[in-house]
Amino acid sequence: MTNSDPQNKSGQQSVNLFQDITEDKRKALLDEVSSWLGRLVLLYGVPFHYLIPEGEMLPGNAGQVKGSLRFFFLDPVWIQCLVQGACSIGNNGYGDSIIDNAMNQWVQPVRPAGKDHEGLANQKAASIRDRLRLEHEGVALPGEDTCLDWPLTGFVLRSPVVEGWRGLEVMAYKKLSAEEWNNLPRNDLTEEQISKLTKDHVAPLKPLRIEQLSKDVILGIFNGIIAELVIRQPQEGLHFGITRAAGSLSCTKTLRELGYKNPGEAGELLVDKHNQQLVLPVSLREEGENPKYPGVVDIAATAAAMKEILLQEGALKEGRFTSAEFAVEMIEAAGEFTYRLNIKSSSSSTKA
Amino acid sequence: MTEEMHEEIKNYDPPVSVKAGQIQFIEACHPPLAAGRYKLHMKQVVREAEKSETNWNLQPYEAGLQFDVDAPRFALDPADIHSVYPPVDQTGRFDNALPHVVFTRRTLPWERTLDTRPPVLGSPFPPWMALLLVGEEELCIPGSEGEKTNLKYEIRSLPIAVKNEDKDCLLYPASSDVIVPELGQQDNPGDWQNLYARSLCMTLDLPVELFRAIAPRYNDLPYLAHVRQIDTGDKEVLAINDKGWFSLVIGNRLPQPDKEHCVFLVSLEGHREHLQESWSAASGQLIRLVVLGTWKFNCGEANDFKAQMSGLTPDSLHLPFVSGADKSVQSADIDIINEAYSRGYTAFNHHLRHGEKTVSWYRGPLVPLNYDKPQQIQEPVSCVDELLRYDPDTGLFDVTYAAAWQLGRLLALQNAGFSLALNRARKMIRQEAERQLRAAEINELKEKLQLPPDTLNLEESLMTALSNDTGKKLLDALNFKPVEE
Repeated sequence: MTNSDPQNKSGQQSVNLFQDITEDKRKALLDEVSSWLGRLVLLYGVPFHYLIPEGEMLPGNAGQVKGSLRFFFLDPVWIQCLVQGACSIGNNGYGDSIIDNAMNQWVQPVRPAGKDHEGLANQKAASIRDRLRLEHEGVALPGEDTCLDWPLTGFVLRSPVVEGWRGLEVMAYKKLSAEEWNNLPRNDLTEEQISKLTKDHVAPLKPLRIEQLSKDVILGIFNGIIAELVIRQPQEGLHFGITRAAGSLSCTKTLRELGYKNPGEAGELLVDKHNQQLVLPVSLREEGENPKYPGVVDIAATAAAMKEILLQEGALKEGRFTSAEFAVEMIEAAGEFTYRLNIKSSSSSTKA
Repeated sequence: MTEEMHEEIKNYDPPVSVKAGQIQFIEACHPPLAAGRYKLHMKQVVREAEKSETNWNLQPYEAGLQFDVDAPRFALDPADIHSVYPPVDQTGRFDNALPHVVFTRRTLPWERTLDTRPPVLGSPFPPWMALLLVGEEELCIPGSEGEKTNLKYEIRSLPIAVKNEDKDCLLYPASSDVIVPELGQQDNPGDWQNLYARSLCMTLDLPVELFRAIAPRYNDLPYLAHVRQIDTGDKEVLAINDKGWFSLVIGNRLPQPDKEHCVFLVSLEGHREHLQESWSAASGQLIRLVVLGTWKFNCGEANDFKAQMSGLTPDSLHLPFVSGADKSVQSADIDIINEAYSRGYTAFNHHLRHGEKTVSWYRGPLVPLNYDKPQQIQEPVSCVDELLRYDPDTGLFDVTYAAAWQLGRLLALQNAGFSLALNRARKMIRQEAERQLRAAEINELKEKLQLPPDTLNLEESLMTALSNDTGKKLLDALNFKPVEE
């Protein structure tokens, strides 16, 4: 070849050569390939040391440091190179290079400004979590296809909490402009999300990947820029808690509304007609100053006492008090932490 | 599991769906059949119609079928346990909470009954498991005069049933001071020995006095297990989730401040009598329990979920900055290093291809800044070195994108499915392009020959065109020129 810039030439040719292959056809031809590349976009399979090259970037629980929570942007160029590297295998020469150039244009997950269609790996990456949930939890796929909304952001958390409270719940929110705020459909939002929307002008961000990477590290990648991150104790693991009286063995429990009369009030503290909270002493099997085996709760007696009070307040349904009602009364509210971030969406220049 | 059983379990699904942040509590999810041996008996009677002449066989037809419903008994699959509270081996303020275990299967706590007999259909029955919370010092075996010793009541691995009568096993204790679960093993010891001759299980012998003091009573049990359904939309997707359903077994004892504790998940099958208020045993006797799981924790300084999480200081992901205090580094270098760190870079030793050693910059895909979205999709490079970048200011290489490219290549090579699919796709794209190219050429030819576009047999049409004295036109159309000598 005598052309001074063969790469550009071939690139030009490839576009012409393959322009008649329709988008549907491309999708069908590259379905399997883009599925796997979609996983690559969300860094599935990328070794931990490539993600966090130095341990000091994410200090663990030692001494005064209680672990670390770090936020990040996903570098689109890094992902582009990763995908190109993956597609480079088995390239046998000039003819393949033309195909590869075209294929690269089709699959790349990052859509440059001005291009009208999304890369194939983009849609695949955006739906990985939905597919996983369909496969493992039987949750139906959402009706419409989503695409990646670059820049993607996320967090890494290293803490004993990851190990001790398996199934942490993480929710991310993005900042909305006034216009977006006005146009946002509110039908599907939960009460919590609506209150965030009104108060902070933030809307929920779709999680793309939430995964425990090692014993004490969890990674979250979200479809957009995180303005607020909420980390909550797993609901299935909320424990039965009591209030200990200071300096004594006795303990109490403040009763809750069961929500049979008004479902909206379920879980709120119950008050009697004098607007007083109802506090029930927890009966212990061995009362007294110095029991040999302290702390053993007389569950049946405590439950019976609860039932009696709740019956008086008319809070039960058909007078039934089972382990379900007992659980509502006994569980401790979920610990929840909100981290607000001030990440500007304006970008900085790359290192030359 | 049969289809019917699925149907039954589906009936537990509540009419409302659980939204994020909500919990649905259910008192119990009893399996359609608890574990045990069942007999199915069928009888068909044929009755003679009035005034029938035919000689019917009036013997009723009978058939029977015996089947066993199995469930975990002497051990649990570790995957059945989702999480425990207080967390394993952690230290924290856990003294105001009851311990619990979360199971991944909603029916697990009710898959067996305390007396090994199937429950009355449709009536509730208590769970077959319980959590015993024991202080570490309560497990010490006192000496003959009550003094402290180093011996402890410990978990032992024992065979479930052995033929050798001198050997200790779960069901047939060597010592008459040990009270064992009553599973009906006295009725036909031979069966038990055959069935469990080689199986081991974890057992714990506790003094009757301790067991009576800390174990839940029969009346407590129904309140110590329940089922929760939650929305799993904000969690990691775990392959074990029973659609957001979990069952819990809760302990009945509060931990004591500043002490070490041990929790045992024990099977209560065969111990129904021993849980009654009225039951008593001679002092000095031991009760033998099947241990399905155990963990330890410490009550200590404030170190629970809230304390852990509020101790975090969120930051962006980068290396901690170098301060000027280190005299070995010049201040100009410090600025360069900190500038690089703030962009997410790290420095690594780099062995160049020619054997030289240098230091190169690298940063991962997770960066502290919003790097620009590329203005165009880059052409693929043909070799990884094209992606090495040289920084003339520091004289160092940036290997970031080269590393990413190389990693992508390695991961693709590792995955046979992907590499096959990629080759297949290439081949198909090539075929598709060639096909379209040919079609375009033929269409062009047809146009020039003024043939109708739906002409199917091109060859014949060409011959016709030639014979019809339009050969010149055709040769013109093909741009045909005689070869010059």
